[in-house]
Amino acid sequence: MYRYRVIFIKEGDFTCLSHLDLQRTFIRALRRAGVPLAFSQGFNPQPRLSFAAPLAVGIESDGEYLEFDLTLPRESDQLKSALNRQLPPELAIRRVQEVDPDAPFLTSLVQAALYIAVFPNPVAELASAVQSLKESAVLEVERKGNNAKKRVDIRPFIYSLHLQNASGESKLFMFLATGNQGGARPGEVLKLLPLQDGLIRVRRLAIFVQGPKDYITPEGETLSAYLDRMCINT
Amino acid sequence: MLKKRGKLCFFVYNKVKRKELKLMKDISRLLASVRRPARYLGREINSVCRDPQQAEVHLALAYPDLYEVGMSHLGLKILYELVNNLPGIYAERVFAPAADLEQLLREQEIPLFSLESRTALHRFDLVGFTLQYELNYTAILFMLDCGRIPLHSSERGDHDPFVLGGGPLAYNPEPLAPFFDLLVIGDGEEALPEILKIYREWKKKGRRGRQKFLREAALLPGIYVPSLYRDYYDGDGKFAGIEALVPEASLPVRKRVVTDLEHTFYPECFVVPYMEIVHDRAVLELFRGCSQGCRFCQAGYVYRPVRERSAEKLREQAGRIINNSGLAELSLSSLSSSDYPAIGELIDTLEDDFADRHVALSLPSLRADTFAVRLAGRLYKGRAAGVTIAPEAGTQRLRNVINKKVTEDDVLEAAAVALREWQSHVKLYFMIGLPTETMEDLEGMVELVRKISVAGRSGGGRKKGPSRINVSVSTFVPKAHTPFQWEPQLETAEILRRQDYLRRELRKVRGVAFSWHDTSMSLLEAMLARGDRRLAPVVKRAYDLGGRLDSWNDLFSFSRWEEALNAAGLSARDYVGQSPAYTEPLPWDHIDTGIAKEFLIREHQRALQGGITPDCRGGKCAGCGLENCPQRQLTIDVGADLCVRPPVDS
Ligand code: SF4
Repeated sequence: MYRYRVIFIKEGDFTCLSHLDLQRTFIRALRRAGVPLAFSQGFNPQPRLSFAAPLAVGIESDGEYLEFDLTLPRESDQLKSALNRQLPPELAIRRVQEVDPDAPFLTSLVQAALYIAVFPNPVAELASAVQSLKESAVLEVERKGNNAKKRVDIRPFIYSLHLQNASGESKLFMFLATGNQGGARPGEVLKLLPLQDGLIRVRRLAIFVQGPKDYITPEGETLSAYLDRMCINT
Repeated sequence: MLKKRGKLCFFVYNKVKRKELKLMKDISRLLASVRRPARYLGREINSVCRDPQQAEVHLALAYPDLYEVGMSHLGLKILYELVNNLPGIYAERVFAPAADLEQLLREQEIPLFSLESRTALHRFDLVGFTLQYELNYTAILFMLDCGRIPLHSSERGDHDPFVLGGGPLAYNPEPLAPFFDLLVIGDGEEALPEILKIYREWKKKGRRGRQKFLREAALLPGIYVPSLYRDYYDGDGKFAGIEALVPEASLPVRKRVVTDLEHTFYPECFVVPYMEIVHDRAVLELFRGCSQGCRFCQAGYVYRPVRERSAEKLREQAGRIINNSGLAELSLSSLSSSDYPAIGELIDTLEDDFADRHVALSLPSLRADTFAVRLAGRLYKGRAAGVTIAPEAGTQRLRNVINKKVTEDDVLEAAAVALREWQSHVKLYFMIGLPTETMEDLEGMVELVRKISVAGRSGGGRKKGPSRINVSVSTFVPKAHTPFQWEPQLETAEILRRQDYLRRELRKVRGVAFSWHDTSMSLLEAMLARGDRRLAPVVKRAYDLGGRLDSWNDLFSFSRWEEALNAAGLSARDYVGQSPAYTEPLPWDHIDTGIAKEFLIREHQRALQGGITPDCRGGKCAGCGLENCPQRQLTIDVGADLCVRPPVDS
């Protein structure tokens, strides 16, 4: 068994695809590319693949992760170009990496994600609203459960918020918990802020797993090194 | 013709004019605020994206329902790929918007657009609708209106598109006559390219004079241009006939038949949706037509004769379709797939071919016998779908009346195999209100279901658990061009009474879930299936009153239709409650399916006497009068011998 990790983007009109749509799209792209997919056992064999930290509809992303198993090895670069031929540029694959097939799928390790929200016409109270979010001890939001709505405190999942103003627009960086241990969605945080004019664009910049000291990206870069490299000063 | 794997659609934005670029951005913005935006996204794998400005003829293929329904339709796939392979012609897809998008389009004054290049519908040269279901009629007007095309052909000018239609409902086109410029009767694979050729010439000459194009197109076989005909009525307002107004208009209009299916175009680059659609799978067409001769089934008559594709051809097509699409399910489709001569061998071959790729095969329509169910069972292998069996009627007597050649033993054994051997769900299809039906037949239906329930339990099957037998009961709709076109539809009150009876009785049978059809939908289906031109204003009115996607139970409202009928001084009952005499003119008499009316009369007579007509495949020609049928042996002796031939027992 050989496992490959694919890092792709999601942007433009294609942010409207749901997690299930994306799954369907990639399975079919892999099938068309003719790669020797490994299938699960049982009555209804499915390709063995896993997306890390499903992204909500409407959000762009610089780094989405898909892992899948093949029965025969393939060259990473060839896989990348073969798959890109089967995908729209808005879902382009940036990198393909061979990883350890016996390690757990990335999705079970993801702990946090960094998002940026761009406000084209920020209202004056935005800064103070962000400040008061940071200072509050409890932030309850409503979530739809299987049957009923329930109230959840997302404050523990908001690790940090940072507002930057430049040339008329405001950028809000949100470092939020995500994954199996619970998390906050960027939409939930934005709903707690005053109403804005115009479309707020939200993009996921990176996801993080727990490193030895700091959070690290799946590629091993620490959170602080990442922020430095991207010139995000917090 | 071999093609490269999966072509992707990358639209060349910089070649597009500014105004259209704005429309594209507008639509991108709309996508963010509607439910299921993937319906309108376009740009799927294998969709064809070109610069519309470069096309000599720009055609919209429209399906009057939501994306997930329209994209499941085989006819649309065939025409899309066929037309896009013709030089100079560009075909795009358009589907009906859901209510949320409709509202946004109206608020922001954006016209309904095509999926590929997001071109407004009114900017196309031609718009071709698939006519598949009567309750889609309001959706046609809805799409024209949202696309800013005048609803009536008489209101369209030289710069409006021509509105075309085709598909099974074109066999009784009258309720739609004023809305369509031109209708294709029968198979479209040859007719549509011929129309486009004439159109191209007309456009080259400066696209002046719509009538000129229409009259020329009317000369093609199988083409019906409604505006070149007039309907007339007798003194009591009864339909009296249709006459041609110009020499170009043929009377009757004979349907088009693609005789050599083996060498007829078949798509191999299916557009692959991003979202889940109703039939999310690749399709092979094993054969067209059906030889069973079920007397209620319009498709069984209008798609005659049976034309098959060879197993080798199907195998080649299957390989390419799966490679090009990446789909994981392949449906072996036709009106009755287990009738395909070497069906077992075909399945073996395909299973071998796809063994390592895990492509599931499925059979959508089967006879209700063990052979067929064993086939389905081989493919079933624990997938949730289950097995569908359609006895249609509860007693042998009534099954003989409708010429459904399946016995109770067949049905019982088939159901037992499915329930016991494969622990599968079983879906049973029945109809109520069939000609000559009595309470005994309904009791028979309940009894049959009870026996199936018992047979499914004995022998170690699951004792408890959720219901595994779904009984779905629809209401008989007397369709044009069938032997039952002279039969009425049962009155609504009586249908409701019979549904009640079944609901009560089937509740007592273990493991059975019962579902039924809305009576007012069945009434409208029958009315539109048998209607004349006077129903066109009713369709229009129903649209004006808010009728949109009437085929969806939750969006359907009968009161709109009632109001529209009242306004026109018509009643649905007048259309569906009659049993016209054989000599009475029918509103679809000018459409010629190739089957002799005398044959339909004889079949009707035979039905009433409970006589069976054998499957006409393999040398048992029943003499339906079809001239271009390769299996034909009998010629029908017109006029003689009617109604006196004793029923033939199988
Ligand atoms: S001509 Fe004979 S064989 Fe052909 S469809 Fe008609 S009945 Fe069947």
